[in-house]
Amino acid sequence: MTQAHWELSHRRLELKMAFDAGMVSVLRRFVEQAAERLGVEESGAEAVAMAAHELAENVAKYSVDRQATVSLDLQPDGEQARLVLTVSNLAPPKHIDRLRELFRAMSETPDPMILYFGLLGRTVPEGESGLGLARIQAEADMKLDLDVEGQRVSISGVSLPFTPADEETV
Amino acid sequence: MTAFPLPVIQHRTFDATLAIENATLRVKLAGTADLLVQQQLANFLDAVHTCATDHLATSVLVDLNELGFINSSCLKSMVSWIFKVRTEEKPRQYQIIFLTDPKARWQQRSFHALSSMCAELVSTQE
Repeated sequence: MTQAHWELSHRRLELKMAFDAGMVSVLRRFVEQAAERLGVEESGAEAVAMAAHELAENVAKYSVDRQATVSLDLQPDGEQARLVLTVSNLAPPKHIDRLRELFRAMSETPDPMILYFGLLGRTVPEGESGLGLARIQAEADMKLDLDVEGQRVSISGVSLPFTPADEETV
Repeated sequence: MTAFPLPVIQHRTFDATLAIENATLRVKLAGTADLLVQQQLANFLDAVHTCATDHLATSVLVDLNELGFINSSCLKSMVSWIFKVRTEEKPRQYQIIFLTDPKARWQQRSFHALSSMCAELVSTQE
């Protein structure tokens, strides 16, 4: 059963829920609307939403229990702001090892498009290819970070800077 | 008229259709292409390729105007299709033209990336 809980405080949105294939698109649409409401321009909101979709699909496919916490944090950046998307879930050790390999590859590849094209063009079965993560870095211009504590994996992506909406309109 | 039924996907969240117009095939994708339909989309694109080579089509137009989203796995199925076309003998190759929605900027990013992987066969148009 899917349960959702939302918190809205100081421009932070947090959702805790179980992901199946159908719920991933629900999250994507929600994140896109929330990002626009926070002031992210349309193409930036599409990019953050795409990132949320790819990360949530990974939860649906590879997590221990399909449960995840998804948060959007508005962080000041001078006179502008950035939106930080974080998806946190429990993952099996084998998947965590694969994630570490992928993040190492992403950090060693100066142009995210090169890694993305390489994974798109691979002829082997997809499996845990990291294609979704590579797409986020290549298409959404979001730098991704990996944080692991035991079995808990958190992947964060930071948007390009934008002018945040007024408090009253959020 | 064709001697066999044209491939089609009709899903709660995604539709795909194929029409034949002389030497051109027209594919229309609508809705959300994601985990729910990725195997169906891969099978559909295989069938489109078979149809295109059987008809010696010169081009396949892919109308994306009603496509709301496509995930990375479904994009990979598109790349597999493009590579199949590229490995055909020249007379059986055809152009793939993605007709993007100018209002959906994400489509420009995603499908321009595909066209740049194989610019001699793949292009985008608004």
